[in-house]
Amino acid sequence: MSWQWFHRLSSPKWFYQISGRMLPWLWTITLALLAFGLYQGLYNSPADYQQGNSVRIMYLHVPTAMASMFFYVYMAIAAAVGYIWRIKVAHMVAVSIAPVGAMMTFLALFTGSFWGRPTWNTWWIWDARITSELILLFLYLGFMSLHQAFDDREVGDRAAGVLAMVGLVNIPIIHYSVYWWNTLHQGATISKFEKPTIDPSMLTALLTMIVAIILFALCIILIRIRTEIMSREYGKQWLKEEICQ
Amino acid sequence: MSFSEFIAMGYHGFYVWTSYGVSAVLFIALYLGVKSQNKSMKQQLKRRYSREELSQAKEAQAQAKEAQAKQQAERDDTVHADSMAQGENL
Repeated sequence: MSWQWFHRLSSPKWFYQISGRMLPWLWTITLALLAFGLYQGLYNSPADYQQGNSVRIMYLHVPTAMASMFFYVYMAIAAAVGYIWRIKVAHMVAVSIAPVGAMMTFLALFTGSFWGRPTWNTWWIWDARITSELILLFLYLGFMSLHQAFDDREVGDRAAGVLAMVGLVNIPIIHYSVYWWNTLHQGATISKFEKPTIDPSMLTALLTMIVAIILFALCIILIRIRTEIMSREYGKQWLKEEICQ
Repeated sequence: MSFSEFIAMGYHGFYVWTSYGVSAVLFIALYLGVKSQNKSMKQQLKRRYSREELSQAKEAQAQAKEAQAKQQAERDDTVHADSMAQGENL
């Protein structure tokens, strides 16, 4: 098996150039999906027979919650790759993901709260799913502040990287919390091995919004990585040519 | 469905629209913040590179001047030596 792609991926120059070419396309797809997802979710899908129109919050709540977990895993993997193989780009990826993931986590909690009020008659409850998601928010924030706490950026990369890897244990806890504990939060609807128990038009809206929001986060993360590359690789000739052209 | 029904969302309008509104505001703020960070970093690098180029150009100029002066001095030396030699011949 050829490892060439891996080495190319770890080159800041390659990453900067390829991300610059991909971004316009990614934005186009993201905005198109977002527009369709919002139309489908807010207008072209029915209200729930029990929850009424508050079910439309799902089209934000589920995608942001999924993104918060998905990008945490991605951040921890990037941190591990950077830690083990000392690959600079991997640390840049991890650092760039953190604030975006933190915002997704906050939005998952916020929209969950605004969905819980009309549905369960409470803004907040210390149940397993919600508490573990709150811990995820603290992990993201902890990663960010730990990374900033060191004068030497490379020491910060490694220290925050360890935190990210340790915090990975929280992800399965979040996912299985609705099975392991008796919680107020409802169980899985689509991420299980049976036929989804959801109306097709709702499923279309939900899947579209999941892809759209993950793509949106990806675009933001790519821009952040490009900024990070510029701030760390300023002495390189290729970057000078890239910037001054 | 009329527009006012759409906005009311069957008594859930407040919850639905707050969720969507706050999310939209945060998404847009994130985009603008990240974009402006990227832009200011790019400008910072541009300034840095042009400063470096300027100092490099100055250095090159100074070096050229020095080299010229050295050459001139060498030429003077040879002329001097020539005249000395000629003097000796006389």
